[in-house]
Amino acid sequence: MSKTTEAIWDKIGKGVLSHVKVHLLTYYVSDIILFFRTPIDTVVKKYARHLPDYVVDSEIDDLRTIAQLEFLETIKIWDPEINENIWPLAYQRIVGAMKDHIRYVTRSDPARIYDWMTEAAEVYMSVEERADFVHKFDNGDQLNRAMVSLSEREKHIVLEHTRSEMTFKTIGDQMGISESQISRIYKKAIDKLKKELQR
Amino acid sequence: MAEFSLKRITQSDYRGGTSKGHRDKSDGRIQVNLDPLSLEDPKQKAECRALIAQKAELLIAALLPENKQKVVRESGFLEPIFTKLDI
Repeated sequence: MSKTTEAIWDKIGKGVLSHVKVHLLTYYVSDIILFFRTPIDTVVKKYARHLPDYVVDSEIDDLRTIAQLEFLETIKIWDPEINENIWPLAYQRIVGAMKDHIRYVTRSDPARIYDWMTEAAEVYMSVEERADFVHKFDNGDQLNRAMVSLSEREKHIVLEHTRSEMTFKTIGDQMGISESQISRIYKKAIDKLKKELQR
Repeated sequence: MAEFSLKRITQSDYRGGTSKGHRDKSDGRIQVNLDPLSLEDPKQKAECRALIAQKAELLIAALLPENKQKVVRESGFLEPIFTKLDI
């Protein structure tokens, strides 16, 4: 390669590589993800092993998506002239992104992780108990009477979540309320029902 | 899709964050501008084309399985770059 060509490459190299990256990300993104699926899944599983089960149950899909997105973002900043292998950089960024996500869902404050896990556990238990809950509901037993203690809004959320199996997010979208608010209202309503049933 | 490929997407973006504090002036866009090189010598042009193909190969070989690499190479994807650079 002549010195003139080297000088030209110094000028256009970044733009050319970006051009190729954009082309590959536009037309071959699914092939790229498929090609790296195994190492990405391995990193996610390895990271998830250090998390409590409740966290893994609720976050594993998000972590997998975040890992894939972060891999694609790594392609955008990766310089193949520095290191021909993208994986070392991608690995660091994927782990960083997953840690960041866990920090985010625990509201950036590690001290809150206990509250968050407790909350996640309660939701998990309520889902586990849902089959029995629906059974009782269908039989029109005392639970039906307990429902009277709920406001219309609470009743609507409980029915949609338990009978129609709608997610908090879907219910929230319908009602114009955030997912977390729906979750809080649902839990409050379930507590009310439990109290009524224990009378 | 094109927007996704052309822009850097941060975690704030896919969480639905609206803060632009972390953004640089390019708004996270990948710079793909290429100006014509104004080369006269055909030999020089050919050398540049060969170098571009060689560098593009680094990306293709690293990111795609072999069967797809062949598809990409045969798709003529470098032609728009050569046209922009006028080589």
